[in-house]
Amino acid sequence: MRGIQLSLNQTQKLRLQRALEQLESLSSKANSNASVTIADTIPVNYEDGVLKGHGTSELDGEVVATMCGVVERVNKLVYVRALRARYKPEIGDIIVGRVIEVAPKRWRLEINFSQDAVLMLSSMNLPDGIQRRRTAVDELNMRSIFEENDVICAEVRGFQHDGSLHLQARSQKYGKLERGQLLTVPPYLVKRRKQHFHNLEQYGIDLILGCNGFIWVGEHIEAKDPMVEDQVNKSEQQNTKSSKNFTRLEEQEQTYTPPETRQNICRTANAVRVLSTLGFNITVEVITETVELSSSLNLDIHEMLGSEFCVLVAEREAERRRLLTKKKG
Amino acid sequence: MRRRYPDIGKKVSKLEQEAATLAASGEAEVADYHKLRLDIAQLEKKMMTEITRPERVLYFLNPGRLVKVREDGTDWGWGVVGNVVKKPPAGLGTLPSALYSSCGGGYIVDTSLRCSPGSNENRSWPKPCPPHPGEKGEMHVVPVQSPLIPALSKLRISIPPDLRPLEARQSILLALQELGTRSPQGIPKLNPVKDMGIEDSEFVELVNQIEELEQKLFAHPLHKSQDEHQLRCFQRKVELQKFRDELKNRSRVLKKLGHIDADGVVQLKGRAACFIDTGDEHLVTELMFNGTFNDLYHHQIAALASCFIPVDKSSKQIHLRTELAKPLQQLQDSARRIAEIQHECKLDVNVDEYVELTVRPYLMDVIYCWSKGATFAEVIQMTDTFEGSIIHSARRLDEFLNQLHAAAHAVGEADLETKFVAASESLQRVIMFANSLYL
Repeated sequence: MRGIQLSLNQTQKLRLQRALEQLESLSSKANSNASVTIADTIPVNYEDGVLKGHGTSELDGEVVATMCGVVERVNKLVYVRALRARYKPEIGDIIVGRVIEVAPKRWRLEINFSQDAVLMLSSMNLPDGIQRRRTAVDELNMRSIFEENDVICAEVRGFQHDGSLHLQARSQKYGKLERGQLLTVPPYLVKRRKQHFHNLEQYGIDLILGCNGFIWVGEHIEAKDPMVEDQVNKSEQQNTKSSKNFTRLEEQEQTYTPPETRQNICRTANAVRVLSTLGFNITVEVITETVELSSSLNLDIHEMLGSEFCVLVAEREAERRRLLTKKKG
Repeated sequence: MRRRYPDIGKKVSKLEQEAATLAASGEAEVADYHKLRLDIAQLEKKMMTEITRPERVLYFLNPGRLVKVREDGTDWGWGVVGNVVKKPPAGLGTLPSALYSSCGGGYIVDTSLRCSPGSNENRSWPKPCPPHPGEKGEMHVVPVQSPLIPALSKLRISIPPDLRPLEARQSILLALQELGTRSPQGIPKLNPVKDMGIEDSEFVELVNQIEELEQKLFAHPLHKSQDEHQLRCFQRKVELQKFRDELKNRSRVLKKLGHIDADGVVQLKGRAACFIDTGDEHLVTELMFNGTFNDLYHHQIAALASCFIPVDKSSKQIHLRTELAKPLQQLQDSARRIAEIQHECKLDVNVDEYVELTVRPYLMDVIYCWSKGATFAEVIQMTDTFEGSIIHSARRLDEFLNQLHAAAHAVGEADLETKFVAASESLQRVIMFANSLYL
């Protein structure tokens, strides 16, 4: 129950405690023996060679843990995986970040990491879609692509020598994110999966689970094919020269998000907030279940952040886990 | 390969969409027809090797004879023999080995074939190709190797002595077309048993089989419609299925070795393996994670790593010192294990061939001594590989050791990192890493 800051009355506290205890008892037993704290010796068979990985160190001929966490073994490699750690980036991770600075030929993004990430101008597709060298004019027009406080989705391309990240956004699915909400959750709640981009069709929203703990919930935008866009743009350019006033109104109409989608966005965002308060792993399935739970109970969106719903979600998760272990066992 | 895994996934879904749009009507018939054609091609290949033995075929390759030419799936149809030349036996290494083995003392037949008109205009890459259906072709004299002739015809036509002017060649084309229209069943082939006098019983059996299959082919309803489009669609479907199967098998291998988990998410082992591309990444990662490098000191590591660098086979006997023999044995065992896993997952790999290809210990001794500090003169005495190849291999080895260093860093094993750095430094001396060998 560490860190759950909710005002719970007595019965709610009891229910929550019970649900969490149930979850603990259902979690796999194997790992409980493998948890270590700093300066614990790790049991290792010394006759075979052993590779000492991250989080371990050799002290007086013994392998000793330098982090609190769980011991993992892969062949002869032994390392300690921390349970609640700061975000550790890997090449190929999907990241959501916010622009904090527009610098010469690059943007600096804040990504919930010890250092800011850098997105080079050359790692970004130009708006006209042509592959060419970035000229000085492109540099001056950087602000037309991204400005300060824009939210961007990108992928980790590599590390710089000082440890900060290089990002790249060269695909249609990366780029500026609009018409939605950015949420911050502890990064260890988002596990690396095959897919981080999810399209919840029944609500018409896009969900991006950034590995750094930034989660984007927004209106669904069709990924446009750049070739098609070129042709459409060209024909539009020919027509819009005379009708500039009309297009501005049209654009506003086109970009108007219907209130139902907005409600769905808020509901999903609140579901994520509840899950993060409870400390459950955030995956698409859990989020959709929580949203369905709230709509089935006919809760108002703001009630989702209340203590009653929080306890309900915990109980629901305990129930689901119990059924799952029953099926397996 | 791991990095390509998600991209390959996208490719597969794209191809699957294509497959869905391909017309699947009458698929069973098309499959049947396709199989018949494949069987015939296989049997004909066997027959070809029998017929095209020089002692038999030369007698019949007279100028003016009609021959059928088929190359690896491209069917050229019928052509007219002009001249036969004996191919001089080529020296070692100038011909790709497959060609050399198939025509040891072969013959080249200059044949007049129908070619696509545009193909010979481009002088810089004069690869002739058969004309597309419906396109009017031109006759050109093309040198054809004797193994590519599956059938000879009974017919001979008289050809003009000089084939250079275009009219002479066009007259041959007209004569061919005339013969084609005159014999609606197809141009009569030289029967190997009756006309050529081959009396081998196995061979007669083969010929009968082919005749049976060909009759089935002609009687097949699809043969008359000759729907190339449908056939091509079917062939692409078959290829797509093969591609899908290969993808499944390869990802199973990766899962078994522990590079990715059951959901397909890349694990620590896979990430370490991503850094290596100079050598066989499966084998090297297995070695690293099994602790083989732990007990070796850096000279041995350099020598062991040199087994992954491709070198030409050296014919000299390999006498290994004891300290190198044990790691080599471990390496060969790991290679065998990986080949077996790949074989279990139904990948087309021969275990012994794999072990031989990936483990190349010809330079082990050389690198070991060089790393310890021998002079270049001493080192080149130990093997008969060219000096330039040794230097080239040493540079590749250095790059490989850098990649191993990056992989060890990803894993977090500091001792191993220092060992790889030490090995790399012990190699970088004097002439092998001189910036320019001309100074």
